[in-house]
Amino acid sequence: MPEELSTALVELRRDKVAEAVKSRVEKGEDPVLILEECRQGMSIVGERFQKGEYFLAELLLSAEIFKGAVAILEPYLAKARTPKPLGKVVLATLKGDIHDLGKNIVATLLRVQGFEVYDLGVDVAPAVVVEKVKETKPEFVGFSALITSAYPSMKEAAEMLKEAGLRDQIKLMVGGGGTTPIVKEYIGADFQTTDAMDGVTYCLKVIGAK
Amino acid sequence: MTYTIEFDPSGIRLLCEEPVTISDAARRAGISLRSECGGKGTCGKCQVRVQSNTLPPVTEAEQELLTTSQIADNWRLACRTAISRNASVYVPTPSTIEGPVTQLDGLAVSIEPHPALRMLLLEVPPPSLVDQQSDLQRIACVLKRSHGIEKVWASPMVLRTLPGALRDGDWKVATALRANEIIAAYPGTIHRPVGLAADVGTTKLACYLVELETGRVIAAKGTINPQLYYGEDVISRLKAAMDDPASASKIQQMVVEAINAVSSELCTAQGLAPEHLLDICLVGNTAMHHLLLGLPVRALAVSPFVPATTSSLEFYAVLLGLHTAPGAYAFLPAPIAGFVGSDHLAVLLAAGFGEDNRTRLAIDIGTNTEIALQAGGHIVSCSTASGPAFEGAHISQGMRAAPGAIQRVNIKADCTVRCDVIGGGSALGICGSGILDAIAEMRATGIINERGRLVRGRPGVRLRDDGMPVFLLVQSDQDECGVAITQKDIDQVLLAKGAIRTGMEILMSHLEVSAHDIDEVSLAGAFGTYLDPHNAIRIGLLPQIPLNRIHAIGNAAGAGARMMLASVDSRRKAISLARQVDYLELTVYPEFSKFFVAGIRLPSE
Repeated sequence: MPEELSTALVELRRDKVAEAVKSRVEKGEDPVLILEECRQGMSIVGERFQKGEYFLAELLLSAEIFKGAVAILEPYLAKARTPKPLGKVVLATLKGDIHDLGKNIVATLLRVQGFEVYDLGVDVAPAVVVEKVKETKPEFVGFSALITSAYPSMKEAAEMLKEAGLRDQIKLMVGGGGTTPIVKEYIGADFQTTDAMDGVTYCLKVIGAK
Repeated sequence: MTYTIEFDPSGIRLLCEEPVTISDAARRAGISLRSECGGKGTCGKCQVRVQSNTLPPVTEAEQELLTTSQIADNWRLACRTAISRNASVYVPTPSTIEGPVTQLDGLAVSIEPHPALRMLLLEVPPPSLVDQQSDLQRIACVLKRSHGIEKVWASPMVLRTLPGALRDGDWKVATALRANEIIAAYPGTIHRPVGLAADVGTTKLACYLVELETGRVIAAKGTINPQLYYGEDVISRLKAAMDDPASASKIQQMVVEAINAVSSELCTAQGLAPEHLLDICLVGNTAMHHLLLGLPVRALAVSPFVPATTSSLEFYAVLLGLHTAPGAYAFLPAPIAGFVGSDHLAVLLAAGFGEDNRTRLAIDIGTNTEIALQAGGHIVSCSTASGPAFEGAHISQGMRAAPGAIQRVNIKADCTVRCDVIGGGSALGICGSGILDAIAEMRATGIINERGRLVRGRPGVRLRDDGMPVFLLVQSDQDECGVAITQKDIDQVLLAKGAIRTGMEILMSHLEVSAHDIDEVSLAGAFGTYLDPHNAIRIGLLPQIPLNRIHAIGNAAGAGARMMLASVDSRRKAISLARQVDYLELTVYPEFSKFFVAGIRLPSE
């Protein structure tokens, strides 16, 4: 029975997943355990994506299904004991760029792993990033970029974090199709990738090492 | 120290004094080398084979983009290789942009001519000591007396030519009038009024010499837009223009010079001269429009992507540097939004939008695909970044529709492949229509599964040395280099068609239209003409619509431009159509993700 839910997610059966989650949580099952099964399903989806068996469409669809499951569990989770988040991540696509498909995938994959993610959206002003970092004190800050127009604002945000004395307290990541190792140098980031899973693995490694 | 570069197979020799990159040398030699990334060493499409005693070391970019066997064989990237000694450079066809199928034929639109001007032959009484009336007033009197035209005037450009025209024609003068403005004056005999309609595309310019009184196309010619040097895509050109006023100026001049060169050729072939061009209509996407007019483009290039104007413009053509009759006007119809330009408006005009109540879908597939849907009295339009996959870019052996490109693919049930190559010779690569066919056929024969993944074990499916699954279309042997489709190529096409289909589905959802409600699908552009609509439906590029409702309309933008050139009525229609069209910004559309997910996937059987 427990296998069914994660399998249904891996097979991208949206309705089956929603149905199963709803009926089980209403019967009084622990919402945290149900969420954990969904997470296992997502991990398998991630692996298949890495292997090339699943493509972008499947990854996006699984993210939608997972979000749907979380929405159903939300009211129950609030009451139950929620485990402490593994870590906190602030994500944003900075001013000049409005692409967020990749960033949204990363946000979901991070949440699946148990991170608390604050997604600031797109075309975000550097000052807004700094404010959020001050407010939430995350371990990670991630900038997503697809086009070069975002480079100056990413650099500005990195500088502002330094000036505010926050840069040393976080790990700065840049990711997305518009980034390269040179961009990492230019912005002074700690990590760069064009692969969503890669970014998640990095976060897990850093947290694990703490 | 001077040295010579010899280009093969053209045989062009270039004498050089300074060290030069092969791509710069090629440009000087008039060889159109692909430069999709604007010469930055990231696209890998400017591959050439170099023979020389001394060559600079292989750069990092070349290590990335060329295979070890290519490098061992002296293949280099033209933009990354500088030479300073005698060298011979072989430029293979897939590395050039020469000879793509430039689409000129469009819809055979029935134009009801309604010219903006007329040509009148006048006999003007010569001046004398007892009649010292000025040249212009002399003409004005004749126009008033014989044709009832009052308050005639002329601009300085035209005034400069008036006295000469009068005297050279022995006081017989043919005047072209736009309402009461004289826009040209020619000595002696009259000739049929002609004008120029042009579709200024990102990649290609299509120019039409039009007989203004009938709307008939006398001659047409296409050419590559020389702005390609600044980058294949629009954003690279906008960036170049934004960053440096000198570049902005050069970019503007380049396209004007290209239009002048083509129009001059068109005129000369008809025994005419550019000074006979009395009226001009230019359409193009919003970026092309702004670059042509020398308008600032920064606001257009970054979010929220705002054009300087969405009004039509009508002004003296000479202001742009166009070679025309001295007082000829250029009409530039309105762009619709940041990424949907007057070329799209011209397509809608030619495709009959706004004419009736039929539910119509128009799609112009290119690097950006503009889509419009008319239903229930509404017209909505959007732009999707389909990317250049259907034009051969981002596909490992992709090329434009030029000789050597596989354009049709058929796969039998036993997985044997039959390819149709443009020009009939050996296959050098595959173009958009070919890869679309290939994917449809691969799906139908189970070579790729419902997730678009190549299925190991199916005939023809191999694993390359680097682990990438590929499907062989054409075997390599001593004559042919072989053509294969990789998993990555398939993914690129799925993304491209996904973007286009998503745009369509969102428009349909917005106007509450389903596929079977659509009466007419018009496919504009070269790709629209060559794609197989049945295969387009099979891979999910188009929704399930009866094939007899799908029509290719060729260069409809050019056809629309011709309509507006020949008819003032069409111009009015276009202006009102522009106001009617609602632009939908897809990036902020709710549930975009859901549509995109569905759009990328292959249709279930």
